[in-house]
Amino acid sequence: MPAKLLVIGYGSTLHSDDGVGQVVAQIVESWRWPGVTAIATLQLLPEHALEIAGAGVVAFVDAYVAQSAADEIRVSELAPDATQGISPHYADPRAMLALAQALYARAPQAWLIAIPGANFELGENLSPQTERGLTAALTHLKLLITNYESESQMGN
Amino acid sequence: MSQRVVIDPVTRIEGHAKISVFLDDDGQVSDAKFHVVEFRGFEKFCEGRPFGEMPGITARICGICPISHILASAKTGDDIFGVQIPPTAEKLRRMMNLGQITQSHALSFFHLSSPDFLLGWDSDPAKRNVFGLIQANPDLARAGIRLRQFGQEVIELLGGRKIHPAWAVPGGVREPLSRENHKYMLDRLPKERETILMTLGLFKNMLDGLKEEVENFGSFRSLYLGLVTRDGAQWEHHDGDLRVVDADGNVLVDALDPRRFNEIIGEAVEPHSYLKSPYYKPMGYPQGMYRVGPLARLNVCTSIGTPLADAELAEFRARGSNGIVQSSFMYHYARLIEILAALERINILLLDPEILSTRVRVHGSVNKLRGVGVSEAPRGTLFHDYEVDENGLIKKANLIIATGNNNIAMNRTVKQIAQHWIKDVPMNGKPQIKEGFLNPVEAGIRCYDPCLSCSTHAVGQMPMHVTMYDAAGNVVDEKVRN
Repeated sequence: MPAKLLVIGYGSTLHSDDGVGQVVAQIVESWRWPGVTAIATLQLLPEHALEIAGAGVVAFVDAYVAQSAADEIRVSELAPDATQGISPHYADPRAMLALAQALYARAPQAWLIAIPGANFELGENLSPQTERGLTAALTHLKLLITNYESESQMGN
Repeated sequence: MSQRVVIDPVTRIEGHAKISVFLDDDGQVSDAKFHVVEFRGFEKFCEGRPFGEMPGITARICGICPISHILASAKTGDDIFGVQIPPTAEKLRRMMNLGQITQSHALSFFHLSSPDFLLGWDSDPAKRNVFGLIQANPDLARAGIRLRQFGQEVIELLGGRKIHPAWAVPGGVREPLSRENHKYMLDRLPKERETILMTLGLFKNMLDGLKEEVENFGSFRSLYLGLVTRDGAQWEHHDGDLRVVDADGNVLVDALDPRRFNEIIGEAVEPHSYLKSPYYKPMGYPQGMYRVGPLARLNVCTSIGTPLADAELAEFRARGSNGIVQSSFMYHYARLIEILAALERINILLLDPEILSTRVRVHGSVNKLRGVGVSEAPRGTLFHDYEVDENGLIKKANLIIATGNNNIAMNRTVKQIAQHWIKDVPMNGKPQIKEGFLNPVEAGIRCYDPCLSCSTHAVGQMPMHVTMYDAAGNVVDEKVRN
């Protein structure tokens, strides 16, 4: 049984586009894809380190402040980085990987999928740009899951 | 000629804030301000929403203390219903709040504050964090993380989710406690009690070496406000009455129904900050400065009511005068005692024969057009005050957030620290901000564990930006710490 693929979507659902990460996580959870787990959370928390350490691959999903209407999703591979630090209301995903490494001696391969956000004011709706980013992020996640399944099966 | 030093924003506290320090012509600190520069606007956002949705909505203000908002909001709903909730529902809500106090205080102490004094001010700033703590004292770090997990588990086992459980509702709670979860919590308690007692011992041994911090991190006379039990004025966190004591331990307000909070609390607005400045009305603003939270709760109560925590309270008070401990640095100490109290209280609740009852909710309708719910959040007294129409839609909401209550005191603390650590700034040449000043100012604010996500809002990370201005408003020096 391969380790699970974990999707952690985070952000404030009261601040419009900032909540898109949680929306992604909720959709992924609704897929009920075997071996895939999703966490929708306002923010990364120290205790997530345990779930991160137990995953085969982690995909963090967050919003970023778009600089133009043409900005699209950004996907980058992450490495543990303890210099990023952890605060109560903000933890960098690289710091979370470092915490998983420090506490449980394991930091899995990890990706950050950043979705452009145009509106971070109080509200519960996503902007059209973020809606497009949401669709692109889900497509990318399906690819990531499929690839992960293939690699896991080859490894068995 | 005077100069202004600005630290913008403060790292390792929540939300967005900056600090200004004003120098006089002789290079001495004349004043200091703690600014909150983001507007919350949350109360406006709630208007028009059904009051029954408010626990779920207000819980999403903050990822660290959602339970405090859920409980205060549910209590406000009880008041609008005009109902008395079932005894078991009240006990379960209490248990969740105790889990919340445990997890939040553990986060504050182990992840944020303890690296400063456990690793030392002179240690490498890049390592003076939870990772440095894990390296230096892995057993303590793991125990602290486990303690926080336990608090989170209490919340999850009761509410079904760690964050934002829509479990407490007007009229009670949605689900009773299961036997399986009851047993799990009882089994875990001894280990967690051992952890907090060990940490208390460690902290007390260190206190004598932290004299400078105790004397300068918010050590001043003020009032203290908090809830106490209706019977005996003991430590309280969920219900009870409001009590105010002064710096000499005199009780100024006793047994005040918290729904009458606005008879004693006014809210001032300062042009330099979006965070309101609540004050004790009879003394006016800003003389009516009061503190809330762990330090205040231990100062206003007659006792805690559990044996281990009461023994610790006696030691704690011996470090003050007339039973009052004045230094905000002692918030750290008070948090540890409150964790112990929370664990003892959880144990008492679990042993209560009523705790497994399934009668946990009553239903009602709009019987009053105004409701007030007051609860003790980890950071202090939290007030929710709603006005609704006949259909239960919010016409007006006012939230006095725990961190906001401490606003005047936080400003005073920043000033005290600046006056102690910044002295004789050369007024000729190019004035420079010394690195050694940044740490105590940040640490002084952290004593309050302020939650600016609740009092304002936060999106993203907070590097520290320090700016020094001259009297004409020109920037003469800047420092940024990521």
